Amino acid sequence: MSVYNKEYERWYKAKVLKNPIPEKGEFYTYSGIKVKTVYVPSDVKGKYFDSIGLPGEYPFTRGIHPTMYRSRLWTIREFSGLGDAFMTNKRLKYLIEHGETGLSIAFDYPTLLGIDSDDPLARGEIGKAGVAISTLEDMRTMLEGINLAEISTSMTINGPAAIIWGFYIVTAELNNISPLHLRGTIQNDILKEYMAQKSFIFPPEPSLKLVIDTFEYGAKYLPQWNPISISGYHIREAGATAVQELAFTLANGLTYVEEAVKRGLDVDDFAPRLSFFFDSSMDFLEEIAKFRAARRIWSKEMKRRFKPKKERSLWLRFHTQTSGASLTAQQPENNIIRTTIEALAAVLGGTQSLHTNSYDEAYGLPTEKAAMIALRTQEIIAYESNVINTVDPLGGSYYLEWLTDKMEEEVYKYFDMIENIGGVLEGIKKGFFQKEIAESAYRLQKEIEEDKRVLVGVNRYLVEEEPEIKILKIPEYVETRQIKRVKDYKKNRDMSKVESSLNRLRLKANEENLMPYIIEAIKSKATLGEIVNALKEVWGEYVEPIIV
Amino acid sequence: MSPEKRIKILIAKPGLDGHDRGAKVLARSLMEAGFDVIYTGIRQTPEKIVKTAIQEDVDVVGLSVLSGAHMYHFKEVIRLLKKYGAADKLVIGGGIIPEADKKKLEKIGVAAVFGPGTDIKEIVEFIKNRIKRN
Amino acid sequence: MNRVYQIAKLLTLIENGEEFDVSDMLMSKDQPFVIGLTGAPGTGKSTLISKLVKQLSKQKKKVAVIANDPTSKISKGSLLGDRIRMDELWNLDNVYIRSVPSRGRKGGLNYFVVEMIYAFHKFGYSNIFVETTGVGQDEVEIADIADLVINVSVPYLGDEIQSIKAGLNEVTDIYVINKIDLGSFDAYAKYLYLAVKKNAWGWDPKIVGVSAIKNKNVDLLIKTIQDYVPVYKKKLNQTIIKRFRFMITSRIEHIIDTKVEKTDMNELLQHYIKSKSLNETVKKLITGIE
Repeated sequence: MSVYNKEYERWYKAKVLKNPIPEKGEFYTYSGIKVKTVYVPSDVKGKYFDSIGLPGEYPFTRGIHPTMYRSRLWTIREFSGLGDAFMTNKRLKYLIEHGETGLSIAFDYPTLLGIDSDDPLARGEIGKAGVAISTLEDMRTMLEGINLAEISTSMTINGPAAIIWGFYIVTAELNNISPLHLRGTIQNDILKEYMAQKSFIFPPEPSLKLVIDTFEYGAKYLPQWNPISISGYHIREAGATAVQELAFTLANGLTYVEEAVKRGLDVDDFAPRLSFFFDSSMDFLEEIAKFRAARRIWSKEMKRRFKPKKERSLWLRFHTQTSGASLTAQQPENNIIRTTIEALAAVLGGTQSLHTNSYDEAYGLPTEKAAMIALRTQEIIAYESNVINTVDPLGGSYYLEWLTDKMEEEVYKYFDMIENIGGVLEGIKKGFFQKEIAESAYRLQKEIEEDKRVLVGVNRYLVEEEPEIKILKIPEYVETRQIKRVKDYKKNRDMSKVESSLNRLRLKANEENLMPYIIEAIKSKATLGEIVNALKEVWGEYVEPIIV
Repeated sequence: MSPEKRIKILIAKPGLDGHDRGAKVLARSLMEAGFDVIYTGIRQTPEKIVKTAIQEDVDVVGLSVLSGAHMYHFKEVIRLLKKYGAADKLVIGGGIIPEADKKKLEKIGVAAVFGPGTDIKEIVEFIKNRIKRN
Repeated sequence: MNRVYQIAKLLTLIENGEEFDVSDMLMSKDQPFVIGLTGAPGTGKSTLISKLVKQLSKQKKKVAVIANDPTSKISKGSLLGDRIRMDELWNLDNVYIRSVPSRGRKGGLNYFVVEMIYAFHKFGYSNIFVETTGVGQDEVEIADIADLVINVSVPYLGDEIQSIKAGLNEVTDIYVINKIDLGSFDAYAKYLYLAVKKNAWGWDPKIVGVSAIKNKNVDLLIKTIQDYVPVYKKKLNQTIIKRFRFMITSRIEHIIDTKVEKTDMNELLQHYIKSKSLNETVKKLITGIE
């Protein structure tokens, strides 16, 4: 037994057990990991250089870059997108004026599901949760006056990601900007849609094929573009724990890489462009441990499974968003503080970009004032707190290193389970992930209701009067205006060209890389919904197993 | 109502958003509270919801919308319930719904709207009280 | 919609134990055709029903589905989820789906399922599917109320024993092997064939491979069901007696289960200790008289 253990045992018996004020019971992280009174050097297993090392070097526990924020701050990227293309264009320009260094676009639900605005199914939803984009003209209007060679654009789109990306590429082409210069990200992570967010369209296999098409196309023509953002965020927000978020996201990531390699792509051609997207919630140190463990597991598994030659292929680069589910409708100003803690965890965990939520998001779309406070939160952390002065400042904390190891251990347990059920796709069809997530969500709700978990303002420290919050509303005319725009677009085109381009798409759906055919269809003025419907005819639609 | 009758509730997600966390947690919690719960999953149209509610003869229709499209979908459900002569059903809602919209919804016949962070016991009590009174 | 509304309310009354007089209907020549579906969870019963119903509805038949779901023993609540898998039926005017909780009845079927069948029949829904939960005893019990029993299984659930759960091969008329698109089912069909038993009416139970989700061989299954009609007619009188017997026994069970539910067991125990007679104690439980 090491001297640390011996001393710990002695101390525990002499001091903790005999403490006049006993401990209040057992302590757990939000993932359910049991936590000791204090941690000592012997709690950190493994050799320093094998598991912790230096930033910018394998296994990247301390960060992917050697100097991190001392060289370049994270990208401040606030999610926006509302109403129609005109409104979003105005908002994007406003954000650029106020110092945003990257655009991040949210789409409305019809767009997310590949439904045109003039479809009856879109009624009531147009422009509500993001911008409505049905046509090339919508995309051009949204990006009007923005220099696409200079800005990086992140688009939160999954099922129809390839098509929306196509709109963007064609828009750039019409603005005389080479695809070589386009920077940005499409979320394009369809696997987590089946698990959590449920904005799926096609069955998993053809969806996966379409994702790999974008990898291949991006590697060839858009070398600065991230063709995917492998997302744990939605898995977490649907109720998963930090461990589940990490395990399922990394499993999805490895599934994409495996598929791409099966297609014959060289891992070094696309792996450096893979990016991740995580949640940052309220268990401050567990979140930091999660980010550190994520980098370590990813680099280890990439190395072991695919043996890349480029070091960059081992990097886990990630975007973080603070947790929307942690925000409360009660005493909404408290959300500013929650978001600050979560944002700080992301920075201490070494994020590459960050979105901080607005405090009014439990009510609806953020107002300008709330969005401004969210932006300022990041700036205060970046410029006033001095946490950026050194890389991975919490590295070496006995607790944090122990917890990082523990997260890794738990993730590998899930990897084994996933392998046993036959991989990610099988797990999705069998409802494994959905069940795991639903269980965690239910457990959390129970804990809150049984007062085992304190939420300030919800089950503790309540106030009588809740303040009325100002909320941004999308005016009614937006829907009418957008429907008319799409209808007009459909009137003014050569239908025979549209039909023949869609026919080629149907014909090639299972054969070739679809990106060139999608782009051709877009140029012939086919709409988002038309392209999606053509593919539905070939691939069918996905119906999920119901898990409650 | 006979003393043995259990409260039957339909939990549905109208519209296109797939955020079913709240709906699922609620469905399960209501079952645990002794209700008969019918959960119909995501992407339901108002027409489908109303027809299901009538066939199943539920006492309560619970709607969850997180896409911001609640005004449209709730109004449609209320309108169709009336059209098909089933206005007696208690309609409740949940999701991200601004205060001002809540009031409007209550005016057109939504019995209550529960926002994020609502204690499920509160929802159970509300339903029990309202159904007993009828 | 008005008629749908009337059936809906009638079914609720029945579900709550109100009496619904089916005596005339029991004696009538015009009887419903009741198809019971058994099979473990995950074998795709609901999806298969959905496809069958869709085809039948195209022939302008009025079809009802009674989907049994288990009730939680502890909370007494139920989560009724089967109708989601029949999503394609929601807009068909001649189709009615009703989710029915088992209410914890030992056999697994709801106490009043026969009355519900006749309620549907009264409104012209004469082709009635009854879906069992697939757990517990309802898979065998279904034969007491159905004219035809279909067992659904999947070859590679890895649990072949399931398909010949005790007594199941004595009541099954058609074995459906589902999800044949996912692999070969020959070996499994052979295995089933050995378990099959000829029924008392001279019907050789049939084995049909289908893929419900791909709509493959569903028409073949319908044809097999039609082949069964003469047998159905032959045994109708006996079926009516069976259904009547079910109505009687399950109503007795309902009365007793309700009494037990409402009885203070501690108090009853005291009574037993005093009387030292179980018969006396039961009498007190049922009649309330000491």
